[in-house]
Amino acid sequence: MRNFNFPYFSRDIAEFWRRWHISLTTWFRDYIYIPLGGSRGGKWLSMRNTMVIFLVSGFWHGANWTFVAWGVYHAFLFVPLLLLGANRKYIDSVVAEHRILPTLKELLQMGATFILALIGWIIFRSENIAQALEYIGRLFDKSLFSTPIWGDKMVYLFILLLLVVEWVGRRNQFALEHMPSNRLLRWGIYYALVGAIFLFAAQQASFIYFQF
Amino acid sequence: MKRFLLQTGLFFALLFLIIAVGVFTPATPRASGSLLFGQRIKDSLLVHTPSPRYIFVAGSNISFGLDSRMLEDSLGTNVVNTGIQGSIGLHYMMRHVLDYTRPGDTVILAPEYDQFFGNFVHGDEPLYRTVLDVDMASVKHLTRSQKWNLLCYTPKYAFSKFKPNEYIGYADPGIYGAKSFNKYGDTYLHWTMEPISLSASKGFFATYNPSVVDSIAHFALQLKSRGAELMITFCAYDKGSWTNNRIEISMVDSALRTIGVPVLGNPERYVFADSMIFEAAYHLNRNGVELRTQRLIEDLKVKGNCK
Repeated sequence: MRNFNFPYFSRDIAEFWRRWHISLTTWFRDYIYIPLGGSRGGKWLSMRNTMVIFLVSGFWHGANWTFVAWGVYHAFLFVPLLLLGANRKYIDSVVAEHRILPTLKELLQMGATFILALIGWIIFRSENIAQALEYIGRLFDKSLFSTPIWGDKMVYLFILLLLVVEWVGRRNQFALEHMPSNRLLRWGIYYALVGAIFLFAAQQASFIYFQF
Repeated sequence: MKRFLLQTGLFFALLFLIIAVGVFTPATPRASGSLLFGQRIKDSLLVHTPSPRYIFVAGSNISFGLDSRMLEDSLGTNVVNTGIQGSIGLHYMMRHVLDYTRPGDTVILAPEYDQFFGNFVHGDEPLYRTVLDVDMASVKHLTRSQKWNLLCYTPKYAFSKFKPNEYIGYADPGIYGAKSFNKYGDTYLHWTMEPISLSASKGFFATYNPSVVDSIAHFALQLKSRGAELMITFCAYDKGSWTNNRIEISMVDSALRTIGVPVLGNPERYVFADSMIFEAAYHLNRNGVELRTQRLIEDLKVKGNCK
């Protein structure tokens, strides 16, 4: 089963949640949302069931209020789309489906969704709510208007490279599904990836799901 | 299945070949200019400087904190400053210098305080690069766990040889390069530079490691068996950092006095105001270098009898 379907190319939060951790969201849909009535009882019941799902998802991630807050945060992002009937706009389409590049509107939609998801991750990965709020507060303080510290330029090159690879492969099961048939080229890519892993590997971080 | 295994085997064989090519390719132009290559200069000093001599062993607190000519002129004894970088680890520094000591030499250890906490003493990436880039024979000075860490580091090292910025467009290391040492092994280029502001160290971020003092005691015995002597002094340290860490430093001081090796001065004697600091807690500007060297001369003349 494909578990992640290019979620950062989503145009809204509803599409994000159709593309992120599909195995888990599918389970929640099948064993909680549908038994609770799903979307058959009207908008308010759908809203309640959606809030329950996000709350449960928060609790599922661990015994910390940050996870619950993260769930609530996403619930508040999702519910307006539900109430406006806009949560199923992009159900069968891929962004820039028949184009090489996205339109400006799609670019802005992806950017906004990405930023909203990132703010959620700050809440998710913080030690506590206070830390999350402080972190988010610092994102939007006066340093926002100061010259950024760019750091290692190679990082941006790699981000761009990976973005291009993911973008080109966004219609596939996974980005590298259609690798070049030429073995020399293919293996060259593999060795470059191995080299990049060795060169840029950081200190080992604990796997966040080990807390379970 | 057979085809899969053959292809996998071929893939890994080529990967090992790429790593081997990377490892045995000569040091890149960027790496060749780094501070770590100062070891070749300092090893040459150790070979060619006649005994008896004072051999200073530590990290950059002595390369950035001593005027060896001043020491020589005052004490009438040759001086060799082997300081490069603390992250090479005190264990390696002691083992390495042992090969070069001769009867009549006095090794003066002035380790950075970080060496006494956590695993700092075992060295980190600078140690591995020293072995791989500068002197592969020095792998004999590594412990088993250091050799394992070196092995884990080797792929990263090998692939770094293929980075374009190792050959073109790299910055001149300036005072942090191999060319920054004078004929005694002192870093001297910064003596005429303006200091850079410093934030005091807030802690060593690791627990005290008592085995370091045991290693120093063992090193003293090894030197004695070669007809040489060990003395201990204290690293140059900025006042703010010392204030934040004085309890830990006091622990180090007490431990060092239990091993029967002459101790020159005390930690507080080698604490310097910010006006004497260059750009890091252990690095002195010209005024600081002069003052530290002067105090060391006084302590050497007393030969560890003052506290």
